[in-house]
Amino acid sequence: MKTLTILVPVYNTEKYIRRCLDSVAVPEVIDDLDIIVVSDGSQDGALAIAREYETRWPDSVRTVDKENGGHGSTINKGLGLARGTYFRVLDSDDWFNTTDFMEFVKRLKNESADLVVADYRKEFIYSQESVYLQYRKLKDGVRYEFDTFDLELLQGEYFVMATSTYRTEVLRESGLKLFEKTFYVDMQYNIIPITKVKDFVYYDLDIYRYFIGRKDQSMNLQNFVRNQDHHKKVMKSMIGFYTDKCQNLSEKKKKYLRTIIMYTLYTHYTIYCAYDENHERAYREITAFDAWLYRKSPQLYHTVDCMGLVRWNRKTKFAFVKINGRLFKKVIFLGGKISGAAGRLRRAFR
Amino acid sequence: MKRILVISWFYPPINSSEGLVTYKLLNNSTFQYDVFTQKKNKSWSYGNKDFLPQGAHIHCIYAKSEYLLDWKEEAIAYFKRHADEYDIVMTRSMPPESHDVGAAIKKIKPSVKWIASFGDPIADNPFVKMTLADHSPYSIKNRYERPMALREIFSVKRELRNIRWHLTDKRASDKVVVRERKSQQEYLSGCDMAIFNSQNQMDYMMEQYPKTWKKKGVVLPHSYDPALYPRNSASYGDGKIHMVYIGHLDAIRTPRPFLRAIHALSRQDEHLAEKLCVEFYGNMFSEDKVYIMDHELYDIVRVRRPVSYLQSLEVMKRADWLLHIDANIHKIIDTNIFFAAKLADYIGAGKNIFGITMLDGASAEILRSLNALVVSHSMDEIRNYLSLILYDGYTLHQREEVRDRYRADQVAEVFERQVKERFSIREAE
Repeated sequence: MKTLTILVPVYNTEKYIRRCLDSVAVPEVIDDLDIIVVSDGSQDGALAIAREYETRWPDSVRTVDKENGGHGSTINKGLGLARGTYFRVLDSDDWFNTTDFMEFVKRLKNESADLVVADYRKEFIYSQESVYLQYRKLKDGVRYEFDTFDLELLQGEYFVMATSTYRTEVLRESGLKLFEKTFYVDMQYNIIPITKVKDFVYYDLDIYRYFIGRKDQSMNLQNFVRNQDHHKKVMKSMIGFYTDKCQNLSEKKKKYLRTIIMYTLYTHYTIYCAYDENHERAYREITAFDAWLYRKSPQLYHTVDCMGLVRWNRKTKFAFVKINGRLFKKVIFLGGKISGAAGRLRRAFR
Repeated sequence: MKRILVISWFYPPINSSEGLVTYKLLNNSTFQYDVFTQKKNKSWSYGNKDFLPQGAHIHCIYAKSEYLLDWKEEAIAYFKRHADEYDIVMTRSMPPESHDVGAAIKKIKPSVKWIASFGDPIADNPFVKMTLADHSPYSIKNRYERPMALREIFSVKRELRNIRWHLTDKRASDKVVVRERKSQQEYLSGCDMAIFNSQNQMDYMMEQYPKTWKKKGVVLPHSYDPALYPRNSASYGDGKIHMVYIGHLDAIRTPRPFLRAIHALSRQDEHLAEKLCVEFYGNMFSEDKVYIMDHELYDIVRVRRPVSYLQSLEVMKRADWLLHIDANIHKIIDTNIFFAAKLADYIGAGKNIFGITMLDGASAEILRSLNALVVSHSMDEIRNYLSLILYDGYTLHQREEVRDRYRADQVAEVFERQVKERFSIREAE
């Protein structure tokens, strides 16, 4: 059994895949790795490049060529084929910091936690910025029980695909099966396996490099609007999962899952209340969703009320979404600033 | 076929990059050329004492003046005197004034076929746009770059100057932009064949013009001449990996991410200097030199004076890795349109190439097709690859058939074929 399966989903990334594979296929640790490159109907030369690595390291690198089914389908496929004790995903336009990754694999050999967490970095190449995202309050090498650990240690963050390495068995037991031909399935990946995670360990290693090569790649508002149906599908599915299948979980786990859902709910409301320029559609969609959320989970419905954007839009019955939601968002933001300043002043005078 | 008149401000022995590109093309061509040039003005010259071997089919005509505008007039006057001797004229930029001569010649003799070769875009050059950042010398922001006394910070006079700079100088630069666009349009509309060094450059420059003009475009890559490299070049034999960069660096085309990567590696490995030696031949921005000193990288990184073209080829041959650095101009454009002539010489040296460039665009496409290393401007990515090279002997095998595409005789053959086809020149002529 290999120590770690690395799934590399590939779709027309011939410009990047060499960097990705070079960062993991290093002689020092290659024998411990099970690298599965799944081409999702890729049309360019990416698969041919991956096959070079397969030829060089046949025991450690496998390529799979399948019909296009989206990011989720590649993970489903990879999980079925995984031979490693642990499993993680590395997108083919991203890469690992090799030095820390080698250390990671060495430590992973003696690991038994259900989830291993490490830090990551966003590499904004166009502005040459490197943003380090670190779980600052977690302690290196310490094993945390998921049902008892202090959520404050996460400082409002949660574990994302780029930071998470799961025990393969945990992923399989959780019944993880991501939607195919759908965007935003990372939400499923971040939520579903957690139900089966008993404990996790944090390694203070800076491994994943999330590549942002163009300005428009990070400002993906238009993508959110274009793919809003995908977002809605995944959102509803995860809320359904939470309300139907997570009620027997510990309070701590439920709170953790609520944090993730809250973040994504905020994004969801923002898509309609601020990004979508088709105001009629946005109004129709968000009122329907809001009513659905109330019926499905009154708890989540009321929790999300703490967000100014949602609260004020609800108070105004989403009337401004029909006119210009983005402008209203700015007004709410400004109002929040003024009221915050006024509050501070009041406290100062007291 | 009559001799071709080539109008080129730079030509060996004035070995600027453009002069060398022209030289390699002409010297490997079988056509007969008269090159109108000059050998007095040494600006932008790399090793002007290098007399490169030249075939008998090239005859140089040197202008008397060392000033560009006078040279231009002399070139036009020369053509007036010899108009009957030429049916084809080729003009080369940099500088763009060569094309002014081409446009004037076309007016004197409309039947002449004009080939305009563009090293860089004349108008809307992304690199120039990066250079001319919106940064007033009177801005209060300058306090981050140099000490500013409180008196200067709160100075009304300074602020008025700053406002004036924004109102006047910017307008002046706009005028320059308009003039450049007009010139480029004039050149591209007037010429019969336009040469670009990459498809990306051609697409960028031709984008705004009518489709019929695009038919004039020919991509003729920069080339290397195998005859110019030394036959025997001993490697250093000191057990270190030798990486070499040759050419000009500045604040925009900066080696900073590379230097930061070396610094990061040196913190992990205190014996790095025993494994790696990096040499930069040519100019480097002062702040990068300071970075080398401040971070105590001088045992690993050495900045050397510019060397002559032939010496540079020798240095390339001795190196283990050749370092190529392009400017990161993502702020202006997401596709790199520049193909540095030096890269062709790197290809000719047959050594490993470490290409730090934007992942989309000319250099990246060339390097990928060659199976050379393409790395973004991410310090982390560079460090990863340096680490692989130093500790795991990482290397890539270049594709010989792709290398041959950049050989000067092959490129010259493409040029000749294009000229014959487009201008209906028969072999017997």
